Amino acid sequence: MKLKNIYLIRGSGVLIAILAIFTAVVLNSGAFNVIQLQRMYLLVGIFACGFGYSEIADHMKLGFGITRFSIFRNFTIVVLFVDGVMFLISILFIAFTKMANPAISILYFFDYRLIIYFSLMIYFLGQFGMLLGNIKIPEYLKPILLLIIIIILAAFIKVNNKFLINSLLILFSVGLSIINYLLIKNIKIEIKL
Amino acid sequence: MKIQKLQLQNFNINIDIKNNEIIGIIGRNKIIVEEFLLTIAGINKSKDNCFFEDVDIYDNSYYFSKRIYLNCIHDNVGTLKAEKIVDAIATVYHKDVEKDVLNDHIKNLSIHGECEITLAYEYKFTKAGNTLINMALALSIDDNLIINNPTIHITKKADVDYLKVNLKNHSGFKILGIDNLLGLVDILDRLIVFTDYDEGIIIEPEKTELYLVEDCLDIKPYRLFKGYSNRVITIDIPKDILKKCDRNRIKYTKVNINEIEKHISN
Repeated sequence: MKLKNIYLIRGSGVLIAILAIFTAVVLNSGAFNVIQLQRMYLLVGIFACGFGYSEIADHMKLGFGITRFSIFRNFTIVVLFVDGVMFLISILFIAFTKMANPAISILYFFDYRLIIYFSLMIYFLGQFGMLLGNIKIPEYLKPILLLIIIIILAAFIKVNNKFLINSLLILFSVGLSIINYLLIKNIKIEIKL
Repeated sequence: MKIQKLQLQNFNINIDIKNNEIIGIIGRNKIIVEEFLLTIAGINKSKDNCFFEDVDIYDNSYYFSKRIYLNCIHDNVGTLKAEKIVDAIATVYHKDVEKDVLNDHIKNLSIHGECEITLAYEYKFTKAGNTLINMALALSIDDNLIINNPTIHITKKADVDYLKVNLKNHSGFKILGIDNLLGLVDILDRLIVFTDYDEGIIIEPEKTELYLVEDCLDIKPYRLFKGYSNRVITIDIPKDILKKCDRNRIKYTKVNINEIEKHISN
């Protein structure tokens, strides 16, 4: 495939995504868009979690020359990039909502503390997925733990003190990153025959 | 590659592995063999015991770029199309696979006969086919090789012989977790034996004579594996100890190294 065609496909992909967001915004009321945003962030967060888990649990990568540290570094960069993209999508949501309904107050709609919370949630869930891939606990416990974490994160959205929950999430995200880094520096693969 | 005072469970290993050397690993405990291979592949952590060009190998990107680790039990490859394999390995793992060499191995080992293509164009390998495609891939990459179970499930002698020739000609060191000592012993320069008595012993298959002896105190330092009927397999026993055995009417016989598997008790 020619390079020009690749850019064309990627470019049209981005255009389709923007159009999809526009359609979603126009078809829904302003208040419902916030819920849509929440769901979208949560979905991306769960995806990041699964991605982190599968990346670090892929032993073939280790066998074929990809170090754990580079998996961790590349994964963190990708999640941060996705966070950036999600932030841009949020801005598009807000812009389209204002275009669809000029009467709506942006300050009412755009709670920047919530956007920060959602972005942190994606990073946190990604690191949590990587932690699940690193730790040696029974497999059936892993989805249970993930479910508990998602319920807590969803419940936190209702908490009024956003500064507190954001600070907590930053603390946990940094903590998880450090734990994951320390784990990959000392991990041993469990051998099953 | 240098391994110094590597402690795995109760085993202690010291060995310098030279370029182009072929090292075999055997032991009754398959977990310890795999643990050793994962450690010298830099995947599992050692306590500063394993070095490649004087640098610790654990999660070392330079060392990782110079070696591959494969366990032929795992189904690592899902196609026989060399082009696809080459592209996937280059994209995901940044390793160069020699396409023509891979095609040759696939053809010479008749791997097509060891797989079926489903209606959904999925390649399903037989157990032997899985080992063969893993080995074909490993031999098409110009890196040091660390391979567990390199001939597992392979029943055709011609296939084992083909792999032996190509392992011998492959550049870099080759460390093999042996699943078929009888088939591979003649290409091994050295053999690391994880004995039944918690010792890691290094032997040179060509120069070492083994004995099958009735177990007694005198031969304790030489024991490798438990055999049938209170007999043990040992490495070279000094002549004075053998004389002592004669005096005590302890029976012993010489055994060839490739007969070990026959005499080891279950």
